[in-house]
Amino acid sequence: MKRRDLIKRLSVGTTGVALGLGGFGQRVLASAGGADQYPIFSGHHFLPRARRVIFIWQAGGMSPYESFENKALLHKLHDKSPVKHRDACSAACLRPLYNFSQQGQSGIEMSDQFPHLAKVIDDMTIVKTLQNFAPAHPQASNFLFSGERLNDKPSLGAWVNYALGSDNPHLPGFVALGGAENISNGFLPSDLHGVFFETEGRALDFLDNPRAISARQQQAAVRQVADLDRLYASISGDDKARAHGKVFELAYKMQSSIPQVLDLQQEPDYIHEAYGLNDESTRKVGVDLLSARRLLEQGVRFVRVTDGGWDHHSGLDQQFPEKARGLDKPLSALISDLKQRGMLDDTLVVVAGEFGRTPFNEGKFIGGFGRGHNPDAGIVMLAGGGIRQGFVYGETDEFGFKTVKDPVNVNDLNATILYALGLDHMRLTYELGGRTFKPTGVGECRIVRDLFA
Amino acid sequence: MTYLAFLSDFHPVAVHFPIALLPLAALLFIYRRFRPDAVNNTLLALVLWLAFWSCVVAVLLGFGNRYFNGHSGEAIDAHARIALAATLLVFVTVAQWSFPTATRQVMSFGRSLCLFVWRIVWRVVVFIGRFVWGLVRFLLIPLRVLVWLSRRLFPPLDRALSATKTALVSRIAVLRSAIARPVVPAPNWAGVSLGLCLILVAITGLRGANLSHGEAHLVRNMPQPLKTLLGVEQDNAASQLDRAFFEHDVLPVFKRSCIKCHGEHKQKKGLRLDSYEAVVASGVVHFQDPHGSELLRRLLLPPDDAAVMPPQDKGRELQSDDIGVVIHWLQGHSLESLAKAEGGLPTEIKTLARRLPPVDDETLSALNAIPGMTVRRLVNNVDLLLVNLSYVPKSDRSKALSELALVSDHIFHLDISGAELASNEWAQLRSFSNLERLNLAGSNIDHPVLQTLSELRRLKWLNLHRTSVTVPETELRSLMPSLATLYLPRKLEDS
Repeated sequence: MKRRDLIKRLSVGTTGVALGLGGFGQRVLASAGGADQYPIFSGHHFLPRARRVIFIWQAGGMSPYESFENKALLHKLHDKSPVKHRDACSAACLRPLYNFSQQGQSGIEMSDQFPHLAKVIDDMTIVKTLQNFAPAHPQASNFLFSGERLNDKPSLGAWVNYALGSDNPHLPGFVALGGAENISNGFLPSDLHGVFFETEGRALDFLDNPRAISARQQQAAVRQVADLDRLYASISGDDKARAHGKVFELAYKMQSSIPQVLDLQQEPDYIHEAYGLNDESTRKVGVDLLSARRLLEQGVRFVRVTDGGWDHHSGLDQQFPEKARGLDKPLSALISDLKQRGMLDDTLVVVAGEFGRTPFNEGKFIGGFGRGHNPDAGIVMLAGGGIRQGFVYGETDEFGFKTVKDPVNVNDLNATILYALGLDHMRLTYELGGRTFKPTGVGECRIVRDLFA
Repeated sequence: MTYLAFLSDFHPVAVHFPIALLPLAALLFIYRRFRPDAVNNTLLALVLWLAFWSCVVAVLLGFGNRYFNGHSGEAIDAHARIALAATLLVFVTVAQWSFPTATRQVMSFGRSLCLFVWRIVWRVVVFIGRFVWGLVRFLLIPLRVLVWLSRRLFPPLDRALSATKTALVSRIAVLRSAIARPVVPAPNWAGVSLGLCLILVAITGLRGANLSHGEAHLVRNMPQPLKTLLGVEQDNAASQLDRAFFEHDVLPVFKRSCIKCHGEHKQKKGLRLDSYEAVVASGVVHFQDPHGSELLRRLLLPPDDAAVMPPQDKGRELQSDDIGVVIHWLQGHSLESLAKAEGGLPTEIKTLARRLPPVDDETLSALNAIPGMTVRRLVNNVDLLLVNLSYVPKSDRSKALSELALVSDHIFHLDISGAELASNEWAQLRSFSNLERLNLAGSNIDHPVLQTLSELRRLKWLNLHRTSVTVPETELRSLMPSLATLYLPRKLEDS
């Protein structure tokens, strides 16, 4: 930054303060973006490996034992108490329910519930040691997405949107599909909030104008609002005003862009087939992932897809195959589709729940099989964006209950996702109320550089 | 003019006269104390007048150097200012010998003025001191209560403290009376001003020598224990300019293009560019203000300018890459800071980035202000650009491309996926010589255009998915041998 820019910027800041309008949140990094964008960075902190992210949230927490963790000891101690080995729990052990085999060139051991994923396993990295700071869903998901326990902090997608924004001015930088939890902008400017689209039926309410209002009238009105907001923002230095105008403008632009982008009929039949859109059991996730791919292709920076229903406290043996089947085909199609299009080189695919599950049979008390929450060892599947291929990271103990090597807590995961995007979680900060907030909660965490090729 | 320039070169000779004459005057002044009969005022005045006029000559020649020989810079200005002050002071000194009455009148006025100012300052100091003392007493109330209690409880302590206090108070009273009424004795002004003259001339001389002989010319060979004792740090001012960077990247540039005239054998205009010390001491470089540096000004002049360096006819022109290196160095980048700023970039990218002139934030802002265009640096402080043109509306595209032409060497990744470009717009892509990654997915690229893109010698990643290109992969790869990754139109099921 040149000196006179700094002076210019400082004088704007002082004017804001002098008028008593200087918003309580201030951008702290130099801007070199266009007049109307946020890009607080003229560049990246690190070499950007990925340019966009799709985060598939297995809400509820997928069981490691039915996917990637095959623990021999659990077969031996099935239905027996682990008390001789550990004095932690009086529940009985529960063996992995399905058969495991080594898949791909890399020979990653995985259960037979993911036959399609097995074909692309050589493109993926499996982290077995995701740790969370809370054992209950609401807090754990807050930690997973915002690094803090309460739900008033910005979600990871909002941080990424803040730093990098959308490449496409007609689409938001942060989109949520399948569920609208944990997509808040928190204290960041409000236009960074995740935009939630329905993928079946109408994507967004009020996309059509009332008959009495012509497109021209509407355009004029939106422009007026945005201009006024921009004027106020330029006098006051208040991000919120600018955000208000930007939300109006984006909403207006989305009226024409969204029906186009989310029209899956534009995709050929073989894509529909590959993503499993023709099969009721895979259709829901398939539609979400295909929509996500179309959005990413059109310049959206961060798509969060929620795949709920992995919280198998009971009925594991009936429900897990359903869930696995629902995710398996669409996810493998997404990865091969991205690869085919040359997008996997710079698109990071993250599949994670908020935590893992226990090696003990919780369902025993209510009949059948079921597992409890285990915030000490969960599964993360990663692909693309410079991630290593056919790689397993982290080790758990003989029960798969505790992490013994290479723990990756949720903040480490988020720092690593940001690292892939070329952002340093320690330098991507926001000043609020005298505190400097970063995307990865409080305290130290590490970027897991080993995950990258 | 040439005569003046020639004469001015004698500045380094002329400066030695005052340097010799002033200490002589001082010696005579001291000797006069012991043998008043041996040294009379006339002799002393004569030496001082000689010193004064030699000062004037040296200063005039110094300014001649500045105006006719192009010596300029902050260090030179400071040197000149101190030299002027020294000359003035020599005149004041000699005036006391030659025009005693007039001097005394001026001095007496000056003395009253000094006293007046001093009294005001003293009032302020006392006021602030009282305030602070009150504050300290207030803050120490808990401690004082404690002391008061213990004195009540232990009479011996009370007695001891009282005695100490009495002693202290009397001493402070003495001190106070000494400070409160400042006594400015009638000084021997001639002696004082002569001493000041000596100090000023010494500083001027030292600074001048720093300019000609290098920053650390006096302490360069000082033994380490002595350095530690005196707290001498070598290259104090220069430590900001990274030596390793200089030797690694900048020196090779100078060696190629400069040191034939500014090196060991020839030092035109007294300038040497063949070592870190010489460059830093030369006064032609300015730390962190590269564009205020004479060196850079000369490098960046248009080729037909008479003052451009290296001179046009010598056949040693600098490449823009070379100038970029010099700018990076002058901006205070060290090899380490550069490596850190580059965020762990591969060496070849680093080398490429360092060879390019910087792109400033204004240029970047202007580019980003074009609707739909995103331009980012690969890494902060590394001026390789990631450009997305996909969402620029057709009406703005030619403007966007013409603006991009200004930074064509810096474009590293380019995304034009889904766009339909006219043939003249495609033609502009050829100038992006350092392009490494090109995304043409879904664009209207065709075979003839693709062939022109073979001029992009650094292209490693090319995406032609969703295009109508039907050229076999082998042919494309032989056309663009640098390609490592290539995506061709293909269906998902083909894989």
